[in-house]
Amino acid sequence: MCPLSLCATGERVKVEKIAGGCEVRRRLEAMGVLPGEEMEVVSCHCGPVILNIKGCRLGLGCGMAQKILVTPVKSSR
Amino acid sequence: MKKNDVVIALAGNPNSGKTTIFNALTGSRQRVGNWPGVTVERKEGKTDLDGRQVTVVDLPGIYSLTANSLDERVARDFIVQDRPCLIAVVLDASNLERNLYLSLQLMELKAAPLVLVFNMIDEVEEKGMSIDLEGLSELLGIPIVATAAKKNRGIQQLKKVLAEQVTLGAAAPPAIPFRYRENTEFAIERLIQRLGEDPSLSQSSPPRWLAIKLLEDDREYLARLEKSPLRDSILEDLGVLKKETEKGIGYDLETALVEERYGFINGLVKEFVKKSWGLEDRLSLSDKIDKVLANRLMGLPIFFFLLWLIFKLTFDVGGFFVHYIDQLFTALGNQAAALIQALNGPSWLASLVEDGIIGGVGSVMVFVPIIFFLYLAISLLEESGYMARGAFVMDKIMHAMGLHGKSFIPMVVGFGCNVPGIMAARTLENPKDRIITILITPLMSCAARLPIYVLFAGAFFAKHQGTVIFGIYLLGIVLAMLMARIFKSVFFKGEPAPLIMELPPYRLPSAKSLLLSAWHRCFIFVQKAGTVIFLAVVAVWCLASLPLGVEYASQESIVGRVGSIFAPLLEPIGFGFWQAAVALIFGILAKEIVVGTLGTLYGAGEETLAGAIASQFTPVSALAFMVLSLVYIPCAATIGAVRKETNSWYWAIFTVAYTLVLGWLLAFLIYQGGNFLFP
Repeated sequence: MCPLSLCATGERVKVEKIAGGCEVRRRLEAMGVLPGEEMEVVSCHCGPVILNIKGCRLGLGCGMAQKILVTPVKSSR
Repeated sequence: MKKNDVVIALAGNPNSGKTTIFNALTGSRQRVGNWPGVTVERKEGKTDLDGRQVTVVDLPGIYSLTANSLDERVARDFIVQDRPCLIAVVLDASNLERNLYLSLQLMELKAAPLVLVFNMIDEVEEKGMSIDLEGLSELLGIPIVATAAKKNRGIQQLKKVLAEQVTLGAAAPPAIPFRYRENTEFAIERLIQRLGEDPSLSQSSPPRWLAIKLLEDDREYLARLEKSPLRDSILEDLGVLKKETEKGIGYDLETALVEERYGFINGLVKEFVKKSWGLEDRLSLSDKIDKVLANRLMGLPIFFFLLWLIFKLTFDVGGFFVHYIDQLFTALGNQAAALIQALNGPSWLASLVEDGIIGGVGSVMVFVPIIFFLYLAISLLEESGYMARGAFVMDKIMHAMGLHGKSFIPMVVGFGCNVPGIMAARTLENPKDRIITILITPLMSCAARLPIYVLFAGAFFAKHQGTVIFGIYLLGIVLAMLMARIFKSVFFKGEPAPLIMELPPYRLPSAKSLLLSAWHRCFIFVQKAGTVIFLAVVAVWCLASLPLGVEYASQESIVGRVGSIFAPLLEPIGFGFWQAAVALIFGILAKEIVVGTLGTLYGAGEETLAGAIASQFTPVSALAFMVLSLVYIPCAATIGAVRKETNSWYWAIFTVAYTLVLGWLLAFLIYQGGNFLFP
C-alpha cells in the first residue's frame, strides 16, 4: 500500500484507504473515489496527479494525492 | 417567479451541457439574477411547452446532494423548499457511471418527478456505444430523452416529454426506488418507523430520504432533529442502528451507502450500455492534449502565453473598432450641439449634451468592443475545458502563496468583472481559502478599469501600449499573490484545502453559446453605461457648472472646490490637480466613471481627451495613475459583493482600507522612484 502521489504514470491502482477528514472523504466520494475502486494514473509527477476513474479525468493536488492510499493492480487488459 | 407558475428545475453535473440545454430551451428569454441570500448566479428563462408558458430555472452544476459547497446547498434548498413541478436532470450520456449518481440521489429525495436528459448522445454514438434507453427508462420508472444540445438534436422531443410530464403533474407514476442491501434496508426501515412518531419530522422531507441522510451523518439533517421532542431517543436508536449495521458490513456506513449507489449504477451501465470499445478511448485525445497543456514543465509557460495571447487579440481586434466608435460619438456630440443651437436652445443644454452626456458616456461606450472580445475569450477558456487545467497547473504556485488551485478561476473571471469573480470563489470548499480569494480578487484588473489603461498607455506609451497594459495586469496578479501570502500568515494560519477537481474533456464550444454569454455580459456593461455612468456624468457636469456663472469645469465650480480639497493628497504621487481627484472619487461608484469624468471635465471624445491628459501628466505620473486606479478602493458593486459573500462588513471595510493604502504607497514609489531614476 502506498500513497497515490508515489505511483507511476500509466499504473492501474485500487483505492485501499482515504486518510483524510470527513470533508475530504465526502468530496472524493461524490467524485467516485472510494475504497475498492480501481483507477488509472494518467499522469503523476511527484505532485499533481491526473486520474482516470470511471472514464473521467480528475486532477488532484499534491496534498490530496498523499492522502489516498492505493495498491497496484495487474492490468487485466 | 410567481407562486402558481409552472417551474422546471434543470439539475446536473458540471460539464454535462446543462447550460447548452438551458439556452436551447429558453433562447434569449433569460434573466440572470442571484439566488436569495447568496450571490450565486441564478439563471431563469421562459419556454413554451405546447402553448403553455413555463419557467425554467438553471441550478448550479453539482455532483451530489451532500451540500458540501455553497452550490450544492443552493441547489438542494431550491429543490426541497421551492418545490419545482419537475426536475430535468441533464447527464453526459458518454459518462453515465458518474452522472447517474446525482440522478439516483434525486430519485431518493422524491421532491419532484424527474426527466432524465441524456445529453451529448452524439459523442456516445461516435464512440460506437449504444444505450438501451427504453430498458433503462422502464427499470427506473423515469422518462429518458436523448439529446445533442449543441447540434440542436432532440430538443423538440425533450419539450414534448416535458410538456407531457407537466400535464401529468403529481399524477406521474413515481420512480421505482432503489434498494440497498438487506442490513442497510433494515436500518433505514427501523429509522423511518422511529421518525414517523414525530409528525413534524416526517412532514419536512420524505421519511426515507431523511433516514438515509441521518445514517450518513449529514449535519443539516442532524440539526433538524435537534428541534424534535423525541431527539434523544431517536439519536440513541440511530447510534445503535449504525453500530449494528456497520458490524454486519465491516466498515463505516457512510462509505457503504455511497458504495452501494455506485454499485447499483455500475450494474445499470453493464446491463444497458453496449460498448464496442473500451472506455479508455473516450478521453484519449484529451489526454494527449493534457500531456502538453497540463505538463509539469510546459504547463505554466503555456498558460501564461495563452493569457498574453488573449490580451493581445482582445486589444488588437477590439481596438480596431474603438477608433470608429469614438469618431461616431464625437460626430454625434457635434451634431447634437449644432442641432440644439439651430433650434435656439440654451447654450448650457448644448454643453450638457455634448460635454456631459455624450462626452462622458461616449468615452466609456467606446470600449464596448474590447470588453466584448475579453468576455468572449474568458467564455472560451471556461467552455473549452481549459480553465480547469489552468487551476490544475497553477495549484503548486498557488499553494506556495497560501492559496488554492481553484482560487485561480475567480482571479481569471475577475479580469472580466470582479463581481462574478468574487462569486466564483464559492466553488472553494474551505471557508478560509474562500475569504482570502475574495479579498484579493479586487486586485484583478477588470474590464471597467481597462479604459483607464488604454487611455493613459495610448497617450504616453503609444508604441508599447500592449506591453504596458499587460504589465499592469501582471502587476495585479503579483500583488494578489503577495497579499494572499500576507493575509494567510496574519489571519488564516494553516494549510489550504487540497485540490480535487474534474478535468472535463476538451470540447469545442459552440459559437452560439460563446456569443450569447459574451453578449449577456456586454449588455450588462452597456446597461450600466446607460444608467449609473449616465447619472454620474450628469452629476459631474452639473457640479462642474455650478454655482451659476462660473466657467464650466473650472476650479471655482463645486467639483473644482471638492477636488481641490483632496488634490494635496495626490501631490506626492504625481497628479495633485483637482480633476484627477474628482475622477478617482467618482470612480468608486464604478471604475468606468474615472474616464467618463475626465471626458466630461476635459470635454469631448477619446482622442482630444488624450491630448488634454498629455498636457497634465508626465509618463511617470501616468504610470502612477494607472497603478493607483488598479489598486485603490474597488468599485461599489465589488465592495457589496465582498460584503455579501463573506457575510461581514468587517471584510468589506478591510478590503477598502488595504487597497487604498497599498495603492497609494505603490503610486508613491513609482512616482518618486521614477523621477529619481529619470529626472
